[in-house]
Amino acid sequence: MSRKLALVTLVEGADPGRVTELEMAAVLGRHLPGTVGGGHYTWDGIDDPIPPGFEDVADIDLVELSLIDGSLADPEFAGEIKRTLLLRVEPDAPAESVAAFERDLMAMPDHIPAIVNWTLSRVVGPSGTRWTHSWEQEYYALDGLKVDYMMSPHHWGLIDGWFDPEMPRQIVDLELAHVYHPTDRSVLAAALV
Amino acid sequence: MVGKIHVLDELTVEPGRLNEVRRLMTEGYMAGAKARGMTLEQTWLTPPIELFDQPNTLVYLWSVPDAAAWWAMRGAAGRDPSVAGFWAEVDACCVDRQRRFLVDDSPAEEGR
Repeated sequence: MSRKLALVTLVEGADPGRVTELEMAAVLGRHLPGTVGGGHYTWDGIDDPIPPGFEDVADIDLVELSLIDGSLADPEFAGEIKRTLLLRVEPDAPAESVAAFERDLMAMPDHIPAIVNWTLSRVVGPSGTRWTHSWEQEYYALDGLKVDYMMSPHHWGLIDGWFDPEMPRQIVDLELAHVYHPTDRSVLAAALV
Repeated sequence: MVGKIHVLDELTVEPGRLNEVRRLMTEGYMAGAKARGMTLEQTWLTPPIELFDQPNTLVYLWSVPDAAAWWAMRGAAGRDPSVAGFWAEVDACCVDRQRRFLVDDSPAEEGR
């Protein structure tokens, strides 16, 4: 079973009224300052075809995800942060490196208790997407992401070696979509039940 | 709380290319590393004399003050495409290269 997610970018100077309509019409998470490379919104559970009336949308970067693994530690999660990292593993990366990278990512919640619910998924569509993986987490507070996650030695001392252009074992392209937004419910619960 | 972080580069160099790699590091990396907040603490050669038929390893020990400085270093290197290009040039002279990150692991003082 797969699910879909999209990163939505508005046109420059988007009409505030139509943006409000857009926010009402879909379950959109408005990205917080500090997000990188992923536009203005995360749209979890987007359906095809995209509903009409989105004239102020410049781009919808849609991905279809196939779950590798995840954990729903708190099925009653009621906020407040959902984070998505879309990344591309280089096509010439050795299969054993990709497997080790995936194992390392999935070990992060063991070392960073601030990660509440999480999934790691392969991007399986649409054809032509630049992304290969989606690494998603939910946190009770923004500090869980910005402090516990980012400043963990497990992150900078181990995981980042797969991303770092100075490291011989880098396999992940430098261009990422690192986005996060407030939420009052678990987006990942639907993927994990 | 992690304090000072050491960055250990181990460059295992093909025979006959030690001076080439030393020059690359001195002329192509050190100024940029300093600008990214890295302090060069020490350099070593092992085995401690240049070999002619086997690789030698050059070891560079750097430091940054803390995790925030580590991310500043990492972010600056990621934004500068010449850094990856530099390491590709070094790697062409090496049979192996490793970078490790180290934190203090001194035994706790008695009674603490």
